[in-house]
Amino acid sequence: MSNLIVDVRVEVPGFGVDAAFVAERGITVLSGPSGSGKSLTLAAVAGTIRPVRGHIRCGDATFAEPTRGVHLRSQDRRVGMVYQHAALFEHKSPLDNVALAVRDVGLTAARVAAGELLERVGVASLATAKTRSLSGGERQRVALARALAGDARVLLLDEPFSSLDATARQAMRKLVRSLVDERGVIALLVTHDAQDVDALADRVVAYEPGRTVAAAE
Amino acid sequence: MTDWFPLWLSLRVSVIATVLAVVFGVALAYLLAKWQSRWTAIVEAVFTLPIVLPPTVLGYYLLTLLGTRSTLGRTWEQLFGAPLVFTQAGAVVAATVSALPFVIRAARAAISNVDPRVEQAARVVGMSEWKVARVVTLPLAARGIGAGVALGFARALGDFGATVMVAGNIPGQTQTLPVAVYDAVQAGDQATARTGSLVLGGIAVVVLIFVTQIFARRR
Repeated sequence: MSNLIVDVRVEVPGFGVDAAFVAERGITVLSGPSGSGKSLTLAAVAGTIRPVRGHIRCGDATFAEPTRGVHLRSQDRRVGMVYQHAALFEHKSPLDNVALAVRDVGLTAARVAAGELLERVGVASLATAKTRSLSGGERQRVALARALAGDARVLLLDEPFSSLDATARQAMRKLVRSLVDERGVIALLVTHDAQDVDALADRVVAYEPGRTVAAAE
Repeated sequence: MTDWFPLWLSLRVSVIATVLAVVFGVALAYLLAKWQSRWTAIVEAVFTLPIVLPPTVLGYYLLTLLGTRSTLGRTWEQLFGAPLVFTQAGAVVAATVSALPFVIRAARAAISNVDPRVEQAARVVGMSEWKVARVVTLPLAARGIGAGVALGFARALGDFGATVMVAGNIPGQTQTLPVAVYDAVQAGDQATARTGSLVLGGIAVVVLIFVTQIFARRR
């Protein structure tokens, strides 16, 4: 069984975080105050920022190990990411947002796979709608489908529920839970909301400003 | 009878110049927006010069750079069997250089305005850098680029000073519409000057309305 092993220091101008934890299949919640470095940790796992030292490994793959000069490109990590504000491709339809994330097949096959994923996340009827016109909850469902379209082994969720109302949030939690179980992915969920922790956490990694403190079952 | 050759030549030269300015300008703007170093400011300043230089001075530089005694000019002559200066190709070069800064500045701003998280999302789902640019960044920046292209086209169409220095004023060969208007005024031919000015003024107004519409729709 492959784990995600994170043991790194990540720095941006004026701030740094030391993060150390192991995540297995299921949902690992990164929990702690704003500005403690949770999102920065996700960025390092996604490969959009380079850690200054330490390593990130997932199964056989080394995502990053700066002392050995290893930095796998984001494109090659097979991770999926859902952002707080979805970060969809606004000029593309929901279907194409997902189809663009399907790997190694032609456009027609990608669209078929994308259609199935949109069905699975409950927005099949919006496949060809204007992406700009979607509600917050619909956008996050499309973003979740896009994150899973590339057969991601690691799913990174950066406060995906925080911009949603209570009803949409509840529905989205259920959807994340069932998809993570169904696909057997390693999910990292960044959240401030204690209810998210109660509802979803298989494990919790607690952050205080600039570092992780402990991992608890 | 009105001679329509200058209008036809002006349109042809400015369309070709605009296409060239888009290809080079958008590529350069992309590099300037993505790879910032101390050199980007210098490169951007150099490519902005055509906006602030007197067009005749710009023309003089081009003439010096591309004339029959320059290395570039001689190379062109060997390749194509004719000099670059005082030809329609020379007019295209002058118009391209005049249009470039408008394309570069607008495209650079538009590309920088694309949300970096959306570009990151594209990388994370596996798109190559080239595909991110083609499928995500440039389409999202298209309106801003379009405004710059329209302004660049208007500038190319209206150029007088650089064109007359590099391409000369040969009626029926290199005489563009702005140059023809100048010639007509010198010769006391008010009818031709008036027609030419009205046509150029009309095209400029249409372009400006188009640009305003682009920015109005963005909000």
